[in-house]
Amino acid sequence: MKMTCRLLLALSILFSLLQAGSARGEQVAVITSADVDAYKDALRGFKRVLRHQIVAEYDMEGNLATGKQMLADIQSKIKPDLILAIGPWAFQVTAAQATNVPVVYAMVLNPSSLLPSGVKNVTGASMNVPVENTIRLFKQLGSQIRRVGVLFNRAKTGYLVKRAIQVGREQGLEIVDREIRSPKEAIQALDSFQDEIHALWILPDEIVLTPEVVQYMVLFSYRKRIPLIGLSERQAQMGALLSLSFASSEDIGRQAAELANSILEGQPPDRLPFTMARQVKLTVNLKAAEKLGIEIPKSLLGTANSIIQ
Amino acid sequence: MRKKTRLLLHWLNLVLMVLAIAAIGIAPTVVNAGGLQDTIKNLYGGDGILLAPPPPGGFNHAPHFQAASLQGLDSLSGSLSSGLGVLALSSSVTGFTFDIERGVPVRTTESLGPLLAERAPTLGARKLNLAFSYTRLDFKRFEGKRLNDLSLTLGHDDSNVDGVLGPPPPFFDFELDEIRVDLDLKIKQEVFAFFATYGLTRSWDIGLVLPIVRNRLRAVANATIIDNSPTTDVHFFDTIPGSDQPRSTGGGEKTGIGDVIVRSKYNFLRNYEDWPDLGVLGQVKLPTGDTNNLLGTGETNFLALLIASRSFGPASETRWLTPHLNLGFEWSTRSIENNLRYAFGLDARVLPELSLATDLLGRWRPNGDGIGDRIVDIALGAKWNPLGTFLLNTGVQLPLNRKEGLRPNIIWMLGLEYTF
Repeated sequence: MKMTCRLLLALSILFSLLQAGSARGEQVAVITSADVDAYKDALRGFKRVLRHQIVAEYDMEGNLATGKQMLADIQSKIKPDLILAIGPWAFQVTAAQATNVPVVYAMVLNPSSLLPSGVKNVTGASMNVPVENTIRLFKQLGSQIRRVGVLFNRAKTGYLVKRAIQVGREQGLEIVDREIRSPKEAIQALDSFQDEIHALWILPDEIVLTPEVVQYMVLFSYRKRIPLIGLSERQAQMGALLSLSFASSEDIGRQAAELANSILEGQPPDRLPFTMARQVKLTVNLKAAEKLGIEIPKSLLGTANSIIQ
Repeated sequence: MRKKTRLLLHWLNLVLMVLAIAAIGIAPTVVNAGGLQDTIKNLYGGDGILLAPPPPGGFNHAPHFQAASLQGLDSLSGSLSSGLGVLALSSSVTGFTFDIERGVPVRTTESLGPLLAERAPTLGARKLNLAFSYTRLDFKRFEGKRLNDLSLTLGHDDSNVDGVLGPPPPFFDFELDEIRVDLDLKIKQEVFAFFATYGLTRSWDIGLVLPIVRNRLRAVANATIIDNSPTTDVHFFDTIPGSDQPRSTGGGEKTGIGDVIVRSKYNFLRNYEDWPDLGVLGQVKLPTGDTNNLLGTGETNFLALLIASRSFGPASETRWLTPHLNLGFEWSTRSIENNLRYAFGLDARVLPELSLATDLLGRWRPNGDGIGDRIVDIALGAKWNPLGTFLLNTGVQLPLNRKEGLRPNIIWMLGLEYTF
């Protein structure tokens, strides 16, 4: 009996050691969309948290054809256990290629709009700010805001609007949406809001983000004296009352590493939903607040990372 | 792509090694005693022109003719080693900016930077830029006079020590005789400079410039006696040992390390709506070059430069035109070398891979010695970005005021750089 116990104990220790060894021994290849500081920061964050080994790093220098060639190289020569794709182009290249190697992406906006249907071994850390955060921000501006207008393109941000409607309903906020298929339709769609909405929200949608549309949204916000929430400090500088953006590329890299660790340690990628930015940056434009006659609550000002005065 | 980069690095390494060997190893080092700096002083043996000795029993005037002044030619060292053209610290050539709203990198068409002036943006955190430049100068004029057609007048010494040359006749009017020396100077300089710049932070770069300088100087002098004395005729060249001949030559070639430059740039204002990008550059030039052979100034210089630049274009990612302005002061351990420096110009990205640049570069020495105190050059150049962050630079620098100091007609520049 004693002998059996000792044998079991020895086997258990050996098994644990083997497991620990394999946890550190999985190999990861990295493919980056372009040489951009934000991506370098994300990779740094990834390396800090990853418990496995990075065996190769590739930079596709913004070229999809080069990226495809690199992916072929990775698959035939490196044969990693996981591929990290940083940025949308690397994500597109890796996700489009049918492969058994799981892919974790980082720094991708609206990943579900880029992911081909039927792909299961892909997950990652998006740059999107959680819808909940923006809805909370509207609520913090005051109870007078009950209906929020959004312009969107179903293929790009349809999923976001769907989520926003659901979260808004829970929070007592109605999302009034207008679908557009080109920037030309935006002005007409905005004008159709008339006095129906109490605030306006710029979604991370390519069609909405053309300079003319953003400028018209700022103009609409001033004309109707309603707050506009944008996606970047630049949009706040352009005249949006508030903006909410992701704050740290490095943290997005860390989120991707957490997903990679889980996958390499046995979790199937399709059971790991993509993550959204944990750290967000709030910019408050006090000049816009004055023009709009809106008083920004002190609690909101206290959480601002940047204030335009 | 890593393979490509590695290949490029090997290639770069090979080129640099070949050039370094060419610069240091192969070049002959033939120099007169006293170094290249004394080439002109050393003509005719370095002790003035000694003519044929007097006839036996004659008045021993063993005449030494000396130049009262070398008309500034003795200050070649400063003139040769204090040029304006030092390649700019490389500023960002990332090629992409990040559009936070769309979440995509955006290829920029911002210009590839000026050639010799500085612009305010820095290289970027943890980036290393290695560069090499080759500059060729063939000096043609000194204070406006052609180097192949200079003349010096050498006077007789005061043999009777009466304080005047010439009278009383008839014995001492030979003191009025002069010797005219026609000088033909050929001065060529090549500078092989190695640059390393590192981005300590997003806004702060440090850099080192190691120049390898090759100087070639050849002086040919032809002397003619000008007989000004009305009664005596005692001066003449002869072949007797101990006397100088009318023709004398000197010079040589020397290669070595020039004045090493350490510099740092800090970009304290960037991307503000109503302001240009602003930065400061501090530079120390160390006296590492051999002054005897005109490889360095022998002085330590400190330069402080304010840099302003601003990129313009139809959109943030297509800011293809960048005017820039540099204004600074350089202090030297030799106060006459203190000088005000300025540069202004613009660089434009005319094609995605090609930038053209022009600069007006100037230097003014308020306490100078009158030789080359105001230097104004115009530089024209191009930067080509064939691959990744690899750049090829070429340009010319044209003196605008050729009557100041030691000037070439044209300065040729060629460079390459790579950012890691």
